[in-house]
Order: sequence, then C-alpha cells, then structure tokens
Amino acid sequence: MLKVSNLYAAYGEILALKGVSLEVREGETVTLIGSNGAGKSTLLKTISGVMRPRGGDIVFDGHHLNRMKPHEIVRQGIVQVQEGRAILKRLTVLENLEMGGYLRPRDTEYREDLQRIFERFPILDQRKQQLAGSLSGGEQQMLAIARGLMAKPRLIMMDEPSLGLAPLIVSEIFRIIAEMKKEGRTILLVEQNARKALQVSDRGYVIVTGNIILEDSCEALLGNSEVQEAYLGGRKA
Amino acid sequence: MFLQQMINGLMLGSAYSLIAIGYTLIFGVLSLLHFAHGEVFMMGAFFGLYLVLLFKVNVYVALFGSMVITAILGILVERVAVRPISKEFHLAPLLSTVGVTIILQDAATKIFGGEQVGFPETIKIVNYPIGNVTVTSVQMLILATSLFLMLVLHLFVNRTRLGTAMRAAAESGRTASLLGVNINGVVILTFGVASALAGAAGVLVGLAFNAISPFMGVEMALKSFAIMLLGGLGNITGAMVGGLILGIVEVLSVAYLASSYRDAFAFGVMVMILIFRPSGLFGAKLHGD
Repeated sequence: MLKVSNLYAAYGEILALKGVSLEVREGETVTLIGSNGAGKSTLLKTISGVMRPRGGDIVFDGHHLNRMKPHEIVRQGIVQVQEGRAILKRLTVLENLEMGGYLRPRDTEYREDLQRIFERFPILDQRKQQLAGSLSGGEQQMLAIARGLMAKPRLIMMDEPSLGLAPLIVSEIFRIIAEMKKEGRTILLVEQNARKALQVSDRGYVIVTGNIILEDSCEALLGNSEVQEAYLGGRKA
Repeated sequence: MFLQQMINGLMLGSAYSLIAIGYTLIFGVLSLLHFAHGEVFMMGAFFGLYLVLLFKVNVYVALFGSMVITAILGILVERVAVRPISKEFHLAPLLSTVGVTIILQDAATKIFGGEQVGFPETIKIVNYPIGNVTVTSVQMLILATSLFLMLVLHLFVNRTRLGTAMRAAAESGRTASLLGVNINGVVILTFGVASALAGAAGVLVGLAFNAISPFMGVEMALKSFAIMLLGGLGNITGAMVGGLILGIVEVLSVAYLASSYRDAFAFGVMVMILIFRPSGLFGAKLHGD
C-alpha cells in the first residue's frame, strides 16, 4: 500500500533520513521505533508532505507522493496525527472533528462516522461545544486521533501519540490503537514507548540516525536482545 | 444632541470596522501587516466613484462593483507582492506591502488626479427625523451596509466549512494543511474578502465625506491598524467593536472637546485600554500554541 524507497530528507545541510526504505501493507499496523532525533518524525513529515524529500521515492497505491502538497496527500487517503496533538485550540471540539472530515461530503456516512466517534469517545460528545484548548492533555490526544479518523483515512500515521501523557492515559491511548487495528485499519505508528508500541503492532522497524537497521515481526523485535537493551529498558528480569 | 453624536460616531466607526476586519483577517492567516490595505480602501472609493461617473450606475451597483474590483486588486497584490516573497525574513513581506502602498498612491494620483473629489448627488439625501435625532439617508445606507456586511462575514467565518478552514489556517497553517486545507486557496480567499470589505468602506466613506483622494488611505490604515490592536490581534469581533469605539470617541471629542485634538483623544483612549488590557479587548485568553 505504502512503499518508501531509499528516502532522503534534510534540515538545511543536515541529513535526517539517509536512504530509508519501508513498507506498510493494507490492514497492517507497523511501528517505527528509535531514540530521539533518529528520524522517526522526519519520516512521517516527509510522507505527509510537510517536508520535501531530497531523494528517493514515496509511492502510495501507485501514486508518487514526492511532489505533492500536504492537502493533496490527505486527498490520497493518508492522514497524520501530529506529534504534540496539534489540535486547533480556538475551535470547538466539534469544529475540530469537522475539520478532520474537511474533504468529505456531509452525507449520511459522514454523520454516522461522527456519531460513532462520539460513542467511542463519550468525553468528546460531552464537550463538543467547548473550545478544544480547554481539554486536558489526554482528551486532546483523543480528539487528535478522533479527528484523524473523521477523515476516513486509508492509512493513518500517528506521531508519538503517548508523549507527555500520564501512565493511565497512555494505556488508554494504546487500547484505542489496538481497537483501531482490530477494525482492520492500516496504521503507521511512531513511538518512544517501544514496548507498548510493539505489543499492539504486527511489524516493526528500528531507525538509528536516519538509517533503518532492523526490520522484523514485533514478537521477534521484543525478543531481540539488542532491541531490549537499547529501547525496552534492558532485559526483563 | 448626544444621541445624534452617537449615531454619527457609529457611522464613522462602522467604516473603520470594515477596514480593521480586513487587516485582522490577513494578519490572522498570514501574520502579515498588510500595509497597503489602506490604499486598497482608497482605490475602492475611486472605483465606486468612477462606476457612478462613467456608467451612471446607482449607488448599490457602485458599491457592489467596487467590492468586486477591489477583491481582484487585493488578490493581485497577494500574488505579486506577498506570495513570491520569502517568509523566512519577517520584514520582507511587510516591506513589500509598503512598496505596494507607494505604487498604488502614485498610480491613483496619475490616473485620478491628486485633487479631492466627491460623489455627485447619486442618492437623494433625505432627512429622517427620529424623535429629536436626524438621520440622513446616506448615514442609514452606511450603517445598514456595514452592519449587513459584518453580519454576513460573521456567519461565513463561523458557520461555513470554508470559514472554519480559514480560522483553522489562522491558528496553524500546518495543521490545517494536514487536514486537507489548501492553504494558498485560503490566503487568496482571505485577501479577496478583506479587500472587498475595504472597497465597500471606501465607497461608504466617499459618500459620507465627499473627500476622495489618493491619500485618504494613509490615516485610515493607521487607525485601522490601531483598532486591530485594540480589539485583540486576529480577533474579528474585536475589530468590529474596536472600530465602533474609535468612531464614537472621535465624534464625541469633536462635539464636546476640541476638534483639533480628535485623533489625540481617539488614540489616547486606545493607549489607555491597551495599558489595562495589553492583549486587547477581545485578546486571546489562551496562550502558547
């Protein structure tokens, strides 16, 4: 479905991606783990069109995304749930969700999706007329995910959805991701919380300073001693 | 007498509001001080005047025609003087619009002449006495048109999908684009709407004061900029209310104090408000995006 090959991206003169290749197949949940500054977010930003690739190719369902603008890539069916949630604080919760479905016609299916979102996230239903800026961090993250789902994406990319949230909320967020996976959605997840991310995913990639150094099934990665050492806080006793 | 002055103030203020709203819209979406906005207003007055002089249209057609032409002018300004300029140097787009100010003033002087001109007797001035207050038909037209335009704008920005996209883009261009909003499209729309409002204000002010000149935009731009600060940066309601306040303060100070100090009073009140509410009357209560 999504095929990234030999991708290069840079901030000014500094290369952040040095020939990254990665694939996400339909219905798969793929996670990308790596430490701070390894290039995880850069990869998502390059796929979503926020950053221009310096080289390589991004193909989604046969369409080359390299030269497309972000809104054109959204039109292709890829949605990015940004790092730091990036909800629109001066808009109401409902308006944020409506912006998620900005490109969709306001038909029955749209209204049903909105209804389903409110059933899944009752807190958003209760607060739909409030300014989104008044929500707590965890609620904002739920809104960010819900807003992504409102676009009816064929691929949803999530950038650090658990960042800066209390442990209880983190579990809640991962429960939602697991649910989304069960629904058959295609997900590309970027996380610092490697253990939890690998637990909800099918396959994983490990990225180090702009290079993919490892690709395997999640069970294998969870059992890999180097991965345990570097990303899972050492071997479990 | 007091009520009469209030009505005069509201009339002047509603014209200020129209221009300040345009400033605010553009500042909101681009974080750009569009210096030439006052000149777009001035061109709007001339467009309306010449539609009346050359095509003998009535005042409503002149108003609408001028809005259409100024919208196109505003979009051209964006295309030529704002979009190609690198945003990495914050002052560059600002300076570019200062350049447009000079070009438009010179062009207007060349084409329309540097003299002050006024509308011919296009709408019959009728006085409507309401109690002991007199409202002229021109005043009614100005007040009704401004309020109508502000209402339409309010509904557009708050109730339509495109208006919501505009607000989203004003808060974060990147987030809006990642939700599928074409930012360039929003910028063009914003310039078009803001300029059309300025054009309408130009015709209305031209009708009210019969003093259309290539330099009428300078003072207007400065005041509207101040109104934007008074209302709270990027806040449309703030710009509306701020304009009305300035108009009323100005007219009252002329009526009851010394007329040569009218701008001093107007700006004095603004400075006072900003001392006590630095983020403006309707300034954002949420900080740190």
